[in-house]
Amino acid sequence: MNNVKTIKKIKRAVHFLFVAVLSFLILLPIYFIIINSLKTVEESRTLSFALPEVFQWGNYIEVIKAASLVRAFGNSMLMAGVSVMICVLTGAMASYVLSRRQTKLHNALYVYFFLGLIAPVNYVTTLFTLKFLHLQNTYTGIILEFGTLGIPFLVFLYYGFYDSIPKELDEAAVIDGCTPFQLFFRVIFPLLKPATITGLVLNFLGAWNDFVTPLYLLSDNKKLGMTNSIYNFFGEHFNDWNMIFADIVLTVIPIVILYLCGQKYIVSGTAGAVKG
Amino acid sequence: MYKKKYYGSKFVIPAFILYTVLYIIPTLAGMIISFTNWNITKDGISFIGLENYINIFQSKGGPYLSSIVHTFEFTIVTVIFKTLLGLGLALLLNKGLKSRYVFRTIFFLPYALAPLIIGITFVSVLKPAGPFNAILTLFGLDSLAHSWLTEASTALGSTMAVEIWRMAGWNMMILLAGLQMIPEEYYEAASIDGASKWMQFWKITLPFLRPSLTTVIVLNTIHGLRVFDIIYALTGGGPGGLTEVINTQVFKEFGLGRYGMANALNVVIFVITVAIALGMQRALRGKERNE
Amino acid sequence: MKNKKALKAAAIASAMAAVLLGSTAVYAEGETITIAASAGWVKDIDKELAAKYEEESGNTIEWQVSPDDQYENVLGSKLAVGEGADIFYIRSGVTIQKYQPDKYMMDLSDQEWVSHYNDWAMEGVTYNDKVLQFQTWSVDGWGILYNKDIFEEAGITEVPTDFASYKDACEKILAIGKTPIYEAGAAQWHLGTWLSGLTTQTEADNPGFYAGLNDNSQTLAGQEGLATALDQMVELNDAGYFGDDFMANTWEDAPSKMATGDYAMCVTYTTFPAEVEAINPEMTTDTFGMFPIPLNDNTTFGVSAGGIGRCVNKDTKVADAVYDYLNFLARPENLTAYYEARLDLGPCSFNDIPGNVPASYEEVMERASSSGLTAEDGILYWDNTQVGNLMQGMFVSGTSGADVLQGIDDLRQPSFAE
Repeated sequence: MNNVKTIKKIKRAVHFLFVAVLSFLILLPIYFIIINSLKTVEESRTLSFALPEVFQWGNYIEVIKAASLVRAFGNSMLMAGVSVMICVLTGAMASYVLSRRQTKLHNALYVYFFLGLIAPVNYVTTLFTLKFLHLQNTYTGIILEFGTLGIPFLVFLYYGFYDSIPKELDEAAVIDGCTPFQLFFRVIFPLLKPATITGLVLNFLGAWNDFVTPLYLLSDNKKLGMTNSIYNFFGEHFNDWNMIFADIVLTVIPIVILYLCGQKYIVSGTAGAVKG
Repeated sequence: MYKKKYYGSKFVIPAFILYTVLYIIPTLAGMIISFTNWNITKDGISFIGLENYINIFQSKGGPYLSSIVHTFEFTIVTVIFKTLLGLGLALLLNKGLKSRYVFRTIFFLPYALAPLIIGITFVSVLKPAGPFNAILTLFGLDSLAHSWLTEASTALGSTMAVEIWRMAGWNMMILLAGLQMIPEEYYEAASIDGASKWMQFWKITLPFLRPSLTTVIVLNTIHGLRVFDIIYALTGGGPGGLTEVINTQVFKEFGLGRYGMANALNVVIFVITVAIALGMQRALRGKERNE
Repeated sequence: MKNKKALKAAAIASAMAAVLLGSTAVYAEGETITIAASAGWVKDIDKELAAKYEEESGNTIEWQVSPDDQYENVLGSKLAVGEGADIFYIRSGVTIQKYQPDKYMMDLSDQEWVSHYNDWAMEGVTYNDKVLQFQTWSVDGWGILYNKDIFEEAGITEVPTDFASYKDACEKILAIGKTPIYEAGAAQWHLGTWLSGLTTQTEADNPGFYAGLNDNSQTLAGQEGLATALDQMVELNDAGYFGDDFMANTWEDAPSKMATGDYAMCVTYTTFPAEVEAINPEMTTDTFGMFPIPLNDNTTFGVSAGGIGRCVNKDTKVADAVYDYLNFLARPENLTAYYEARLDLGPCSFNDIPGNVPASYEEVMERASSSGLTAEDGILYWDNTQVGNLMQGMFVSGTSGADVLQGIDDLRQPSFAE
């Protein structure tokens, strides 16, 4: 009996070690970013794994000032935050009806939305459209655009989920006198918390990391977010690797925090996409 | 019939309007432009039929055909490795380890980094005198050291490796969701019947995982065919065009102001991707039904 | 019941709209001038002068800076959509023709500062007899910068004037354990710079060569001299003169690498020594000299059309404010402040102040048999990055110089299509 236990223990230890070694492949480049953000300019030029002689925490303060990161952070929060709400809400609602109805028309609409996962984004014609709507170079325009870009994935993500909610539930709610909006927002939507959080996190991440769309749709540098600030900063200070890496760390921290908050839902939240 | 009332089109309308106005209409307009000679360095624009497409398939004006070949190579290799590594990680981190949540976070982390950031970082890591080669040397493998992103033999492969690094954890997440939907009883019953772990994997895990595998393979394929950011940030299509993919060509044509051609390339990649994605979905899902 | 719901929905929608619209910036007084530029072209001094102008005039400057490698794409699309900035930066010279000057650029010929332009600046900003740019940059070119100390140590007494003597010099430098040339092979545009400087020789030998390329009656393919020059680059690399893995060298590293004293030469511009000195004060500008790129026995020095200039958008709604801003920048005290901060620039575009005239510039001009425009500023649809991409092919895929020339022709051809 003891033997079996020992074997089990060894197995578990091997399992752990194996995973730990694999995780080093991920952690080393991340360590590389962090450690180089804490060096002096001269030290960071060699781009090595070595520890700095003195940790230069001041780099962070300096880069926040130099790249106007406080404003960039606010911009990113505004753009990613609001756009995510738009796409989660509209995506969940659309997907719900498409999944429940399943007529030929609704299936065609589903394919219509699915094509958005593949179709190329054309910035010139998009800019033209926004200009037509008088939304060029406005937060409103970019927020609507980010929201729109997220819709196809959310329709796809939610679609399978609705199948797992028995229709009898809807019927019971209807008998209880729910209006259509009550049925969806009070009964169905709360059941989809994992999917919703997954959608929120992934789309927030997408909007936060997207640097090309703002380049075209926002002109004013004061409206740009964190990722674009890195890009511009890289262009103007291409030799200050310590600053560039500090900027990178600061850009990544908010999304890592967001991910950690949502992480317990994310695995179950992707289940909808894999149900088929 | 309450269906029409309770699942009314008003639920679809907001998404439909946004998506149609801000996504589909600009994209369709782009497709129409692909049949024109629109060049922003010149005044005037006229329809030229299929000329742009003919030029693409004759590689006239740029290395279009070789970039299509590279796109396919990139897609095939990354789809295989992302899926396999994602599956491996999902199996390792499904249950058993107490620390599995920490590890899941670690493996998912690269996906949270903007490709631009990953590009800047790996250009440094993969330099000839960079940390990656330093590690190889540390393990006495200096003979394997390369100038990874600038040698003909390793450039495209290195971009693939970085993309796999970035996306393996994302694959893991989706496949974990699939694994967790497999009822535990099946494994218990199989254990009692004396089926080996290997047998259980083939007879229970894989069949149950088929829908999630379908999803990741299709999405990986779409991502692969549309690749741009990571290659652009790592090599810019170089050295000597060896990592040029369709979307880096689109970018260059835009830069030259040749919007007709840029859009034609966009349409080509779109059509290829739709055909492959729908075909795969049908093929992979079709098998499910037969069982 | 139903109405209440609808009301609620409407309230939420309008609240959202208010949040969105409320966040749109509104400028209260003065005009707003928008300025589009590539990140590398805008330095702190530009921002400082703009701030000074804002204070003085009550107008607002809105910067629209894009990363270097995205700028042309973004500029082109915004102009095409009619969303161009009031002022946009582009290269002087032939690049002006790439952005439909008649359609997008204001004729600035009657501005006061035009009369202060130096000849080279005037030429670079003029198209069809119209002055189209306000330029505060400098004429400069790319030659071979060399470290005099290393040359002396290696026993090189004569500065190379042809390919044979150049190879000799490289061999001697290699012999004392230094790398002869720092070449930023990872920066495709930098490879392109070599060839862009060598076409000057072809133009000098056959005047009208550029004009022929620009009306598409001439090709690069068949230019034996250029093909030879390209093949000689491969020869230099094969002999080890570029060091190991030069294709991984980045341009960003060039100043610090030259500052180490391990490299003897680099293809660069004439103000470069100041950047090296900033890193290693022991290397003053006296440490370096410059001579024309001697591939294919070239002795000409290719120069720019004056660098980067500001165009005024023809559709601007704040033309008066824009002119006011340009007049402000053209004041001698502001020009002085600008050139004092921009040690990377050489002589000033205006004759009010001298600007900076680096020793390397005078040296290379003296050595050159003649000077003329580089391909980048003289040949339409030339793109150093794309040319460099083709040139990388010579080192990784074994293509020849003739293949590269043919490739450039192929890339340019579609832009001439009607």
